Amino acid sequence: MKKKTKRKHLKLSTALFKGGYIHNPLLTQLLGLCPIIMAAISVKNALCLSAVFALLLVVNEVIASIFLKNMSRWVRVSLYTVISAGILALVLSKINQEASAALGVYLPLLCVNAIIVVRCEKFAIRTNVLNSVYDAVANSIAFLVVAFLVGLIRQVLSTGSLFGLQTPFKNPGMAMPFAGLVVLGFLAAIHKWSVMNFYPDELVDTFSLKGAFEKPVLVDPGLNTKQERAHKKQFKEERQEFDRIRPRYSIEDVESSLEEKRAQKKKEEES
Amino acid sequence: MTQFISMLIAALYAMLLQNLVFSAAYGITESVKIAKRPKYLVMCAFSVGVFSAATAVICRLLDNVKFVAGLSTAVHFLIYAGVLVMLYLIGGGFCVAVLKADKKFMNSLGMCALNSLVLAVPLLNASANYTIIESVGTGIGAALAFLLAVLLINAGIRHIAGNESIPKVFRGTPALLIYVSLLSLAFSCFTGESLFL
Repeated sequence: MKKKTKRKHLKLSTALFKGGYIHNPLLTQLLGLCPIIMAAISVKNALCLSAVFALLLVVNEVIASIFLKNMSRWVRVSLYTVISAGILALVLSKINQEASAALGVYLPLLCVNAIIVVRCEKFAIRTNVLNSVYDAVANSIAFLVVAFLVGLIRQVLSTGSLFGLQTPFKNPGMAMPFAGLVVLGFLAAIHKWSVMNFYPDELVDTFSLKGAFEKPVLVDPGLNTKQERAHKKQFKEERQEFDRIRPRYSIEDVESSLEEKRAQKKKEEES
Repeated sequence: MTQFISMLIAALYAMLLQNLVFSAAYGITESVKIAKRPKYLVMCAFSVGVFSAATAVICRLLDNVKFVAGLSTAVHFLIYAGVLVMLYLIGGGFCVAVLKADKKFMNSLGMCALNSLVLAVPLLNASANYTIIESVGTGIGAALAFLLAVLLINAGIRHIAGNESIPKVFRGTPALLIYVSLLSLAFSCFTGESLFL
């Protein structure tokens, strides 16, 4: 049986606050960075990317919440790509050549964006359509805000102009991917500072570095099913043996033993 | 021999000179995610290599068909995505049915097969007009670039996680992003683009 969600009626404001601000998919979970780093080098590109991304996310989440609840996860993941690719093919055929050329391969690559898969899998398949739409809108707005800020900063610093106004900065290096990562890093720091100061109870380092000390394992544990099965079998046998040997206590026995312990403690205290 | 060398050059180009992860940000989310917990690192790199090389070869073969060659860019992209999904379904079905792979393994496989790095390889091959051998080289290069990126990020993460001299606000995600940006800057030196005027 699938787990039913407790969040039956999600408010748009809650979705925007929690999903869009506190758990921002780009700044806290580092999802879907590829188009932001490479294609968001101007405000126009950022807005174009955000519009297409919003369309993909809304459609995918709605379809996932209606039709895909009873499928296995690994098949569902491929369906998100197929749905997104279909929509993107339509968009690519309608969009003008100039905008398409400016975004390059990063517009089609939105179909394998990690945010779409994660939001559909973590939220949409466990809830109803309305909640999914709210979640998609919140995440799309989060994407839009981050993309817009990154695009704005990089446009000002790389071309030295903004909406026809000239600025004293002009450095073509800011259009390169490392600049996108630096801007994202500073935005993530500002985001963390704001959450720490204004909502300290909500601060969760989603991308905690807990497992960072693990060293790369050169043996593939996923495919080693024989060893895994043998281990499980051994564990089961040991458990059965333990259950057989373990003395069975009744509730009365436990209560009497507890009383004995209490009496002993009292004696010790008195002495 | 000439073909092998051309494949090797394409692989080295995709791995070092134009590192697909750091210089073009393909699959950077997946690299960071796996660098954090590199339990399935080799399997992931292998999956990326197999899927990207296989997708690249099939897409190049389809590009050579006259009917497909005349289609628009949007349809071309749809075909590439379709080929990738088909390969993923075949590979996933094989792992589930024959190898009895567990859920965690299948989740990792999905992440490794359906990402921007794997889908970018056939698109790049088409734009650079590579031969089939060179396409295989790019696919292998993509896997090596991914492996290199994960190892480099993992090495940095271990230093960042235990470093208390980093300001509190920058600890965790912001520090990691800036560390990756420095790696990206290092690899951009190979591309030959000018950073300053």
